[in-house]
Amino acid sequence: MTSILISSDDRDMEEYIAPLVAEALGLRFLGPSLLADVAREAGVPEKQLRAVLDGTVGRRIFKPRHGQLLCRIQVAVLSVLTEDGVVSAGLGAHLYVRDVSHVIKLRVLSDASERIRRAVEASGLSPKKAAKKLEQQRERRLLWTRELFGVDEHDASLYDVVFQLKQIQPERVIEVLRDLSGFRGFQPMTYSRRCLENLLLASQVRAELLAEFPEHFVRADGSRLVVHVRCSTRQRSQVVSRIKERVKQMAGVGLVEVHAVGSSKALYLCANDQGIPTAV
Amino acid sequence: MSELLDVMIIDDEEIVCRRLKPAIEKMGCSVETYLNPVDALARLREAEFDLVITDVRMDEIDGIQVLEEVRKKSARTEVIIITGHAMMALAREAMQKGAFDFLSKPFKPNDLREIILRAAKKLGHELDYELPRLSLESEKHG
Repeated sequence: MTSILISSDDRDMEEYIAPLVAEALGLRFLGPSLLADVAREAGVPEKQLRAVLDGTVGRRIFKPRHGQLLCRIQVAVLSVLTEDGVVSAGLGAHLYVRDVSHVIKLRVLSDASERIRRAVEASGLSPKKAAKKLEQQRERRLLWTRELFGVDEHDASLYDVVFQLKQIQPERVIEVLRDLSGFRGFQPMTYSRRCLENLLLASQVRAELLAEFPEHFVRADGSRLVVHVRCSTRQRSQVVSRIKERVKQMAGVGLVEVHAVGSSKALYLCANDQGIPTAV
Repeated sequence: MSELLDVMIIDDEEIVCRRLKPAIEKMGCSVETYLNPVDALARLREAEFDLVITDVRMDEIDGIQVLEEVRKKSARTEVIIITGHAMMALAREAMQKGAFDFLSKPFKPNDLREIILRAAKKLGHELDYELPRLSLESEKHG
């Protein structure tokens, strides 16, 4: 069964539409309530996870701890998505679930004037100040997604379908999604399921390694893993053995290949060259 | 309809045909293998198969063309694409053109068996076969 990821420049809107879509299409809704479970497991407040997802964690753009928390969220989301038939919103999945054909990615563009009106109501700011604040939030979020996931979430090519809610009612969005989910190109196949399982295993391995090795990338293909890690030449053999030792104990892991490189730039180049997602 | 599921395998790598044939026959299928897709298409003009399992990259005719030919000739025949050069765009194209499933090589034996069981069920054949439970270690070398 097809899954659907819904994202929007307006969080209220995505969290309003997604449960409606799930109910209408008989799919499971996966929303921000998942963060409570992840927060409990990670031993952090839920609002910290929310801030990490939104890019509102403070002045400094990125800290290794943020990467670890995002990785935990990814593992939790991907574990559910591998079961098919899920509608997800509010968990940033559109940023890290890429190139999986049976997952439809929907972007909802909200009516800007309506957002400003709501912001004015909620904060008591003047319309001009509310508009400025929303624009600052938008820019901050854009920088955050570029930094962490290497994508511009406003790029329409990331999505299968983009709706402007000024022009179309949410009910019509549901009808279009119902049609789309019946298309053969969006039906699950063994290969696309495997791609999702590969993403899950890679994120599980990253979650395992991030605290000890903050700079690394992982690609999974079935049970085979390729890990690129940054370390000094002197530490190379020790780091390679340590990673193999930690990762080989994990469920689903077979052959492990570890490549140690000397600089961050070389690490990113290697990862890109190998088609490994350079994301958190 | 015969009791056996009629399966055609098209792959220009002889070892793939040689290994898949007995594995699929064990499931209660009658299997013909072709190294050359031109010969396979000639055979498909003469006889109807329930299932065609085809590689993508082959000389002269590729697996997507095989899929298109099968779709033109028979709405009933299901096509499974297997390839060592899998990409999402290719997989999506195959599905849009009517493939039953798309599988990247190397695959675990049970992956293909499970797809065949689903295809057989869709075609109204209930194969008297249960998927063996394989350990990760044995699957790795499958």
